[in-house]
Amino acid sequence: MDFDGLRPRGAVIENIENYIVRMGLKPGDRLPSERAMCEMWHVNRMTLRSGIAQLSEEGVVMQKGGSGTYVAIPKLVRNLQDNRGFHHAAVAAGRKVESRVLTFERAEADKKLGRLMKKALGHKLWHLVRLRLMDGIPVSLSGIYLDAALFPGLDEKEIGNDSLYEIIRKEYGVEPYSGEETLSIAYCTPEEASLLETSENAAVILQSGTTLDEDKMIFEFFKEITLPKYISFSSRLIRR
Amino acid sequence: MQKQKKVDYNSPMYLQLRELIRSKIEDEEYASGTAIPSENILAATYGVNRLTVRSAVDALVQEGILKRVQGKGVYVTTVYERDLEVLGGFTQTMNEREISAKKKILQRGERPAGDKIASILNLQPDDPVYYVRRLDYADDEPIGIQEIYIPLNLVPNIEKVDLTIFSMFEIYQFYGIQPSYADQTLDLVRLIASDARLLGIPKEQSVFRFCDITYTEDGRAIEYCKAYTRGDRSNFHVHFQKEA
Repeated sequence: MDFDGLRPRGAVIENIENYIVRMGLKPGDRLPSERAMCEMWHVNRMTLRSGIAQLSEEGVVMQKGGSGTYVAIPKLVRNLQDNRGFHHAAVAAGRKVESRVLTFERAEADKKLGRLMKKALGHKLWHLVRLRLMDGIPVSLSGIYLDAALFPGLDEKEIGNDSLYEIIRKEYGVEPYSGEETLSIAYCTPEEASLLETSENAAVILQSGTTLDEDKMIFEFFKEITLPKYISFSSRLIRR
Repeated sequence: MQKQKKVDYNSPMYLQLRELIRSKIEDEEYASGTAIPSENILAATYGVNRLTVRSAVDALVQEGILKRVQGKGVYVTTVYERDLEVLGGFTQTMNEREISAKKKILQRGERPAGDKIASILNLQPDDPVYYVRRLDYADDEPIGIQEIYIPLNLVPNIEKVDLTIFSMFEIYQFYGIQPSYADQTLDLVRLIASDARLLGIPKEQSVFRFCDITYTEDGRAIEYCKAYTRGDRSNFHVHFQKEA
């Protein structure tokens, strides 16, 4: 039962992915040499390289200039339906998490924020912008507005690398309970690209939404951009 | 959150107008899929010249938020908001919203699963799967490419079924298969030139890639699907909750 409908590059991509599964290769394991792969699958060098480039961009393999192609460390998968946030997901996956606070200031709800957070115009907020790093690599930029009424004196707390959710839980007894968000594709501004150490106009996943506490009150509006190379998102779809 | 330079009363007029139009779109004062006021009206309303209006509109057309329709004016492009929680195929979702959902089959046929698909669908690498590659349209505009893999033993004689008429969910019903839930991961990728052309987007533009494994109630995998969806026409919505 032969299927020759696959275009050559698509076939190479399948061959590589099948090879990784069949040989039980783990992250960090080396793939055969380019010459060996060309021979195994009867493709020319150019087609092979094109396939490797695509898989490299997708984060399946990585190339160490000169020494070959390796199975990449899998992306961190964040469960969209989990209330626990980036810090929790990364730590649970055994990754090292760091956060750098870039902005921490007082703000007031304007018409848009007021509508999103269901607060009156001028309602006092905290505005916190952080760069998140995973295993030393910048992976996302997160900007949040918090209802300042719930968190007096937050600016005096040491945020550092800790989970903000842990801090507000311990110090203020506020538990992130539920929320909703919208995901879309956005493109980095020059400043964001520089912070995330990626190319200008790089595509990122933009998450924007609100978080509610156990009393169903909105306490947070967030906007987060994430580099798709390191993180992917999951959810479970249920038949209605 | 973006620390870009804020557009305020000191900024050039066309930028101020651009942001004003953008916020009216975000507030849905200019609704998705409808025409914005004409150049003349906007110029008169805000006391700017038509060239300024044109520059503001051009900038938003560049971003893909507005589109010029020959002879009719400037329209707010439609962005379809879909959710990431309900299992309903593309056709069903579009039908529910009364959006015309055309489909074009690019490729279909039997093929061996291969190691990767086999491990996903709980098959042997040599077991046959049925493969469908499909271009989906929303309101006559290409919106996504789907690649679907189904264990062939679940769908005997599927090669006789017209896949442009029936949705995959309807087809599963013919075969007495009840999809119950799916585990999905979401990613961003760039397409190869020929696929980007099919979707009508530039090669550098990223798209959403969804990889879904669909299961019946008893946990049996019945379908693996890779769907590439235009990000400039789609947003996705999801709820999160503390685990019970």
